[in-house]
Amino acid sequence: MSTVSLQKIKKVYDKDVVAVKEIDLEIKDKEFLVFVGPSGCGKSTTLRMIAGLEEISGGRLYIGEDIVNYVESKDRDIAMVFQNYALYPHMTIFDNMAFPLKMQKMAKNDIKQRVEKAAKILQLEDYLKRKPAALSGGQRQRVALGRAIVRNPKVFLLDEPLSNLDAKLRVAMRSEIVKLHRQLGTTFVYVTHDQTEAMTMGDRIVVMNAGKIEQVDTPENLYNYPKTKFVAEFIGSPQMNILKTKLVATEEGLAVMIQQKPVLLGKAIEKKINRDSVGKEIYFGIRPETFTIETASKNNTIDVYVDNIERMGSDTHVFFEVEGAEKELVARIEPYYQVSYGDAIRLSLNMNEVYLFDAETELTLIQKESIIETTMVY
Amino acid sequence: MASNTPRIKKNKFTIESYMYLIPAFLVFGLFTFWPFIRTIYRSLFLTDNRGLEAVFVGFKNYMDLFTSSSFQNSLWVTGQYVVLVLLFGITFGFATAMLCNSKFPGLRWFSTIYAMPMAIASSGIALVFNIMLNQNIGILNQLLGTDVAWLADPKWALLSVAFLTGWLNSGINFLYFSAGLSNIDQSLYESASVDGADGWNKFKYITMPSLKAIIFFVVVVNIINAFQSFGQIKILTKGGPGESTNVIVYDIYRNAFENFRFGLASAESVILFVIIGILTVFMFKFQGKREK
Ligand SMILES: Nc1ncnc2c1ncn2[C@@H]1O[C@H](COP(=O)(O)OP(=O)(O)OP(=O)(O)O)[C@@H](O)[C@H]1O
Ligand SMILES: [Mg+2]
Repeated sequence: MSTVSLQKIKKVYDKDVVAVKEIDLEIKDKEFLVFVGPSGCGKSTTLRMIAGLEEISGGRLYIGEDIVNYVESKDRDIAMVFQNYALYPHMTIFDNMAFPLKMQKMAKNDIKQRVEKAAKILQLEDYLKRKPAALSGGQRQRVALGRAIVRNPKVFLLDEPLSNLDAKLRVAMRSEIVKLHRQLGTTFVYVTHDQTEAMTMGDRIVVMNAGKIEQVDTPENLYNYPKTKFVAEFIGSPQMNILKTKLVATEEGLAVMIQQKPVLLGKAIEKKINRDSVGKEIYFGIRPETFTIETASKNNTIDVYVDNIERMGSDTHVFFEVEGAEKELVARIEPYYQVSYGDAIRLSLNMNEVYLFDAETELTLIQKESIIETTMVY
Repeated sequence: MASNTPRIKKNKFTIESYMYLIPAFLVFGLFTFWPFIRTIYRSLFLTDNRGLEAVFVGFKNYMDLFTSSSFQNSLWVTGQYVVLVLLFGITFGFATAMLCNSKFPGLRWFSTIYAMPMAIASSGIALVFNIMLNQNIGILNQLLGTDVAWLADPKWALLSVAFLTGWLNSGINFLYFSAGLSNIDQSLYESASVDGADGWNKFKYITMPSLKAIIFFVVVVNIINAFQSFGQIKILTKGGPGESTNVIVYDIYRNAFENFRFGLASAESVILFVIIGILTVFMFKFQGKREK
């Protein structure tokens, strides 16, 4: 069993820099778990504590059944891929990949077999005699992966392994790594700051912020049911639009104030909102992809002026100002609409796919059974 | 290339470019090349008391040297001396650099102490050692509770002088090795830990290979340095007891300035030069081969 369990794990640097604040997390056997969050939020620190490269300041860490707080890296039976690959510069590619096996005192023949097998999987057969300096970035990256897969570790740890590659190669390697995970059937823990990478690769995603876990969930749940404003804004591209406004009760039902007009919430959403929040300050969130261009004025339409346009080819991003917004809002619309800078346009909001957060706690106001369930999971 | 940018002419040597070299050439010529050429020339002569060439004797000085048992002894002593100096100096420098490569309180203090020998003049410290190694009043015998004539006993004299020289060299060696160690990417050690390497394996597979170039450099510099040590020998043992510390450089000094046989001393100098030259070329060849 290759589960990893973090119980109140904490990291304090230099007596007062708290990098990780008491996090609890169960990493399941054979799962692909992704840590994602902004720079400096403590992802690498957490991973390095699992690897045994960083002393754990508090809490318990289990790998499988064993508590490993004081077990040295070399005895934890883990493999790690570093952001800068950390290939041994004076060894050939073969020796680099053979190194972990050599440390296990494996017989020469077995080493050769294993390395050649890994080299085949990663298409490195032609480079085995070279030194790392004579390889391209992508090839080095594969060698680093190869060095990790030659043995059968309990857990794979990967710290931003793709961030030094160009965009195209990154997309290609993304699916390579997912494939590798499927082939090997081992637990993978993957760190990235890129939400697209997290969403496309992870079975489950851990969103971290400022040393805390914001939410642990599947990609779908993170997108549809973010528990906090932070997660809502972090997941999805372009980012979710956020307005600071008020939740009000009208004769037709609950509504949010947008441009001084109460816009009614969809019935599906309305049912899930706690009545206590009525009259309170809230953050109202709406994803760019849920706007549509409209001609007739309705309760759920707003009239805005186009501030900026980005044409992506497959769709168009339209930017506009709305009162109470922290920054410009953006709508993703079909590319065949001819809009230009300064145009007045009318957009309708899909009020069944909106997000409400308490303005003080920034926690979601929408109660959904599955949110409660996932809380139980970790 | 845009047409209006001036073309920089490469490899065009003008008179002017040579003129910039004149000051350096003058200094080198006057104080290195000219004496060197004169030395070769003089090694073919018998000289008078003032050191002027008197009688041309061809290679007789060289013949005399190679058949003299004293010179053969000097060669042997020099060989031993160089090996010992290398051993002490490099072990010391390397060990101290390894110690100071981790973080601990008082690190800078220790670093300063280990690098200190670099700043010490060899003859000055030799005077201090002279007292410390004294058989009767020296602190070393008192500390060890022994009664050894460190400098007057032929068994110990060479070792003592070599130890002092090694320690003097260890300061700069410490500096070179420290620079080398701090240049090693820490993530290599982390990666090795994860791959299952213990301390010894990390040393063997990461530290040593990464320091190869620096070690080579330090060895070459230390060898050349050891061949040329003079001040400490002059002060501590004067080549004695007997001829047990009579290294070539000291023998040159004796032949020239005590026996006034300048021709012979010049021939010795030329031989020393050739030995160092051959050794250096050999080491570079060897290094070049290993790189491949
Ligand atoms: N050795 C250290 N000493 C002191 N503080 C540190 C040390 N290493 C990291 N930190 C701090 O701990 C926090 C978390 O760092 P960490 O490297 O885990 O961030 P990260 O989430 O991996 O960010 P990134 O995406 O930029 O790699 C940061 O605020 C950082 O400044
Ligand atoms: Mg990081």
